[in-house]
Amino acid sequence: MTIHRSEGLVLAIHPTSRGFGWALFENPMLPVDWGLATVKAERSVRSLARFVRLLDRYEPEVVVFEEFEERPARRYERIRELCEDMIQLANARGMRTPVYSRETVRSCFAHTGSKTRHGIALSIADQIEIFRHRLPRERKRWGESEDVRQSLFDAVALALTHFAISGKAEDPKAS
Amino acid sequence: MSPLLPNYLRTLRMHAGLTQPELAWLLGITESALSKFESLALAPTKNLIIGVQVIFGQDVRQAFPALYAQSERNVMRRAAAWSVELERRSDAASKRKRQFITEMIQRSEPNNNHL
Repeated sequence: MTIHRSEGLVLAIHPTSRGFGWALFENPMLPVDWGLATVKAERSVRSLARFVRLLDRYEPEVVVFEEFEERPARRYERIRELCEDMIQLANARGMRTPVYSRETVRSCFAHTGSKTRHGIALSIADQIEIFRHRLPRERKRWGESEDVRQSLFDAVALALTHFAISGKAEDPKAS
Repeated sequence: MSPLLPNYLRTLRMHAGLTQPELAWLLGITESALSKFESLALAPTKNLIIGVQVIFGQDVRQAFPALYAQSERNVMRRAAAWSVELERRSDAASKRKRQFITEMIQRSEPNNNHL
């Protein structure tokens, strides 16, 4: 591992009904930490406590989130509120909190031919070898509960999307 | 020098796919001690630094940049003061030492740029 100079740490968060997946990057090729925060009771309170611990420990410059879906069935109200609380907490510490839609994430991985979240997870595992052994199993049928590790890959996808978008914004030649 | 993390112990372990008990066993320390090193609650010891270099092939500058930076700053501060002192002498030994200190400072600067 080579330690590169970078502007700051980028933390990506992907909440689920059971906690959240998270990934911390120095640059697109250097994930420095990642994990799944699983909570069983008082989920919002405990998820927030885990989130605050991450902010305290790493003091990221940017915390990336996924846009809340318009359709209420897709995301529970509790998760939406949790995301809003997380954003407020990060903003209060002066951290930037970009929010990307699922469509934006998908378009960032379009060149890999990945269209689904699992497809994007496969593409990430191809790009970053250390995530290969954490690959979630694919849902075989509709209604089957999702592998909890999917949220880790969703967080990684968000971070990589942020690097792709912010990199383009900074580089006038890229557009 | 502004490393983004004070130490990369946890990152190195995660990249290697090792669990805390596995790395603690390799290092010959308790899991609880490793956890404290990773969370910066404990300052790295000599044994830990050498163990990390043996296991991951990463030297102290890469694995523990904050510790390296602190030691480097202290050494350079003393070297600068000594260099001023040596400027006043004109004997061959002092000249050689001054040259050595200059080389040492030059060697340190690319490291700072790298981090």
